[in-house]
Formats: sequence, C-alpha cells, structure tokens
Amino acid sequence: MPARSISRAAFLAGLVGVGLVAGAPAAYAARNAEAERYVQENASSALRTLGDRSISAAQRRQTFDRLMQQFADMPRIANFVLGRYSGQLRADTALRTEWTRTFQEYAIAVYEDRLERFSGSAIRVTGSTERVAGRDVIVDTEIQPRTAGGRPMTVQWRLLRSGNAWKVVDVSLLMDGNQIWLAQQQQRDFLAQLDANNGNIRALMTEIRTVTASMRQRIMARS
Amino acid sequence: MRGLVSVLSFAACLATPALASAQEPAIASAQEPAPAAATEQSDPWEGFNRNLFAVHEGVDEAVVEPIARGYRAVTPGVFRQGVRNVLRNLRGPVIFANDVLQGEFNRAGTTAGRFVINSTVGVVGVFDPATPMGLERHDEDFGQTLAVWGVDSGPYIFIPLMGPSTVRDTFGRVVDAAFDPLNWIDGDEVDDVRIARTVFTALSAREQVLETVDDIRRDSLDPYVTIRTSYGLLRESAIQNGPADVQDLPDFEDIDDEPALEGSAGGENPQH
Repeated sequence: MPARSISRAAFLAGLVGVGLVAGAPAAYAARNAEAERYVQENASSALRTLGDRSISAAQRRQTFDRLMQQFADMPRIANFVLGRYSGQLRADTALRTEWTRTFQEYAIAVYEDRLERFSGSAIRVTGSTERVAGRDVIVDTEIQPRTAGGRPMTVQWRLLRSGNAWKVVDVSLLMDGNQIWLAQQQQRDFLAQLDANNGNIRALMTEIRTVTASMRQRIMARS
Repeated sequence: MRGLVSVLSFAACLATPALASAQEPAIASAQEPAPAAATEQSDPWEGFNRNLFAVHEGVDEAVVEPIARGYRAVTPGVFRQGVRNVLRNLRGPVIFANDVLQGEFNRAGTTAGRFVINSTVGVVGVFDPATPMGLERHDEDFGQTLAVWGVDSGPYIFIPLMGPSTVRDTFGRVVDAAFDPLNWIDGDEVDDVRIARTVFTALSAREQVLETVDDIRRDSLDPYVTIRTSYGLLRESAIQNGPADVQDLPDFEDIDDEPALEGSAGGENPQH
C-alpha cells in the first residue's frame, strides 16, 4: 500500500487538536462551601485591612494581628514547623508557651510585610477539595494583581475544622504548575537550623526575634 | 512565616530556571516512616557549596543584580513579558522531548500545540495566544525525566551564576542542551542568537526574582538554607507535575494530641 503523505497544515492542525484535548477540564472533586466562604471572607478582610489608609499604622497592625489569630491556627502551625523537634514542647510547658508566642509574632510580621504588596487586591475562591470530609479542606483561590493585565496568582489554603471553627494551617502558591506549601518550607528551614544547633529551640527563638524586630522596624518605617 | 518570605515574588521565582528547575524523587510509601536524611535535600558538600554560594552572592551583588535592576528600570513591563514569552517558546522542543520521554503524551500534545500557535499566531513567541485557548504552559527538563525514571537526585550543588541544583539536575541540563534544535545549527548569526538567548535568559530570570532575593537576603535566618529548601520543594512539585494529591499532605497534629507514631517526625511530609 502506498504511503499517504500528510500535509504540513494537517500535521500542525493535528498537534493543535491534541493540545486542545489535553487542556480539557479535570474531573469533579468534592467541594466544601462553608470552608470556601470562610476563606473568601477572612482573606478579603486581611487584604482590605492592609490597604486601609484611613486608620493609623498601630490600628492597622492591631486589626491585622486579630484577624490572623482568628484566621490561622498559630499553635498548630508552630507545633508543625518544629517537625521532629516538637516533642520538646510536650515536655516543657514554658518552652511551648514561649515558642508559640515567638513564632506567632514572627509569622504575623512576615505576613504583614509580604502581603502588603497584595493589599487592595481582589481574591476569588475558585473551588475546594475535601481531604477529610467536613474536617480537612483545601480551598483554591486566585488573587488578582492590582496592576491591569497581570496574571492572577493561584493560592491554596488548607483548613482544618476544630470544634466549630475553621482555621488555616498552611498556604500554597501555584504558578506554572509548580507548588510550594509555605509551612512545609518553613519546617525544612527550621529543621536545618535545629539540626545545626543540636535541637536548641531557645537559640532558634533568639534568631527569630532578631528577624521579627527587623521586619517590624521596616513595616513601621513604611507606614 | 518565613515561607512567606516568598509570598509575592516567589511565584515568579517558580518560573525561573535558576531557582525553579529542581525536584526530588517523589512518592515513597505513606506507611513508611520517612528517613531523616530524606526529609531535607541531601547536602554532603555543604561546606564547599557555601563557598560557591558566597562567590555567587558577591558576583550577583556587584554585577548581575545592578544590571537586572537597570533592565527593569529602562524597559516597560510589556516588553519584559514579551521577552519571557519568546524565551519560554524557544524551550518548546526541549519540553516536548521530555514530555515524550516521560510518557506524558497529552502534555506533549499541549507543548506541541503551544509551540505551533505561539510561533505563528503569537509572532515567534512574543505573544501567548495558546494559554487563552486552554493550552496552559508547563515546564519539563531532563532532570525531571530522570526523576520520573527513578533516578535519585544525588547531592545538592550550588553553581555560581546558575543557582541551586543537584547532580541529577546538572546532568539533565547538559542533556537538555543536546535536545535543543538551536544548538544543532552552525553559523555566525545563530551564534549571536544563542548568545542573546543566554544573556536574556539570565537577565529575565534575575529580574523576576529581584524582590524574592531581597526578602531572602534581608529576613532569612540562613539564605543558603532557604534557597536549598525552596529548590527541593519546587522540584518535588515539578516532578509530580503540579499539586500533590491532597491525601499525600502531612498531618498537622494538635499539640495536645498524642504523636501519631512513636519517634516519628511530627507531621513531616511522609513523601519526602
């Protein structure tokens, strides 16, 4: 049988067709409307607060701190980021209290410093996936940059339900298909520090306080 | 959290070859306790790498960063986006080859479709009409292909002016260069194109992470470690082609709960 030649145009059209099929939407996954609403309301409030120039810097910080403490499960995150060293917190209540407070102040300062760049941006929930029905949910959102024409950033929020309240325990950024979960990154950074200092959490706290103070100065200078 | 060091501009960093071309061998059994060494990127040459990192930082601060800031200052955003689009489009054949080698034929189709549309309708890749048509961009390289084939990352290495890598990923870069049709052609004009591409790739990558690098230098407890951990996590994501299965995410124990496993790594991700 003679070989049939394929025209270049037909070949290119075929490639494009394959590509379009490959771009078809993913399969349906279970969503959780309550968790989606929680993220929409609280993340919007946080970004709105950072962009609110009608209140003083001190009021802005106070409001943002309160929002973040309600929105995120800081004690649980503080425990997680210590990984295999978190056992020390169980054995020493004073250390646990001190660590949780130090980490919380640090985390809120980092959020306030970094998220300021997103202040006033619109956030839109695009979906969610239940990891454990009604208790552990990943909510997908897009943050639209303030500058026109910029591509929205995909941000995922992992929420755990404890009692009657949802709380965020981790946040991921997704762009060009690559994802990074920030608490996981934080854990690896801290583990590297703790491995190097023989697991001395108090020494780690000293370093963290220095960084927090530096960030606070910068935030104040900007206000 | 310091992970948020990355929040804004880290997204840009994800797309940059320098920080973003990595990964780990994915998927160990969730039932197996993670070996301690596998939790973080293996770095047996840390002392040597830190020296190379110091060299990199010195050259970057003296030369590369000022040029990248100048590039941002004198060019409009739309121009820089066009440059990024052209550079990404030129990687199309390499991405396609690696899609095929990984047996990802749907993604290979997407890559081929994007390359054809953006090279023609998109005016040699300056514009990206393929994305609005549903052909989302993704990246692949031979380091990822080796990971998919089960090759371990090997030790971490930091290469001045190129950034973080591993033995596997560095070898992958060499193979990717061989896949690149632009490297097959001889001629003075083509040499100029190759040089221009190299210069603009470096410039564009550095410009995209200006804020990220500022944040890391200013606020990180240890910038060397932050870059290493970020690289490892991003490569893991790239190898598994995007978001992990939600069931593979680590548990976040309440501090008042009993640990799930005696002596386990308190919520460290089982797949690492």
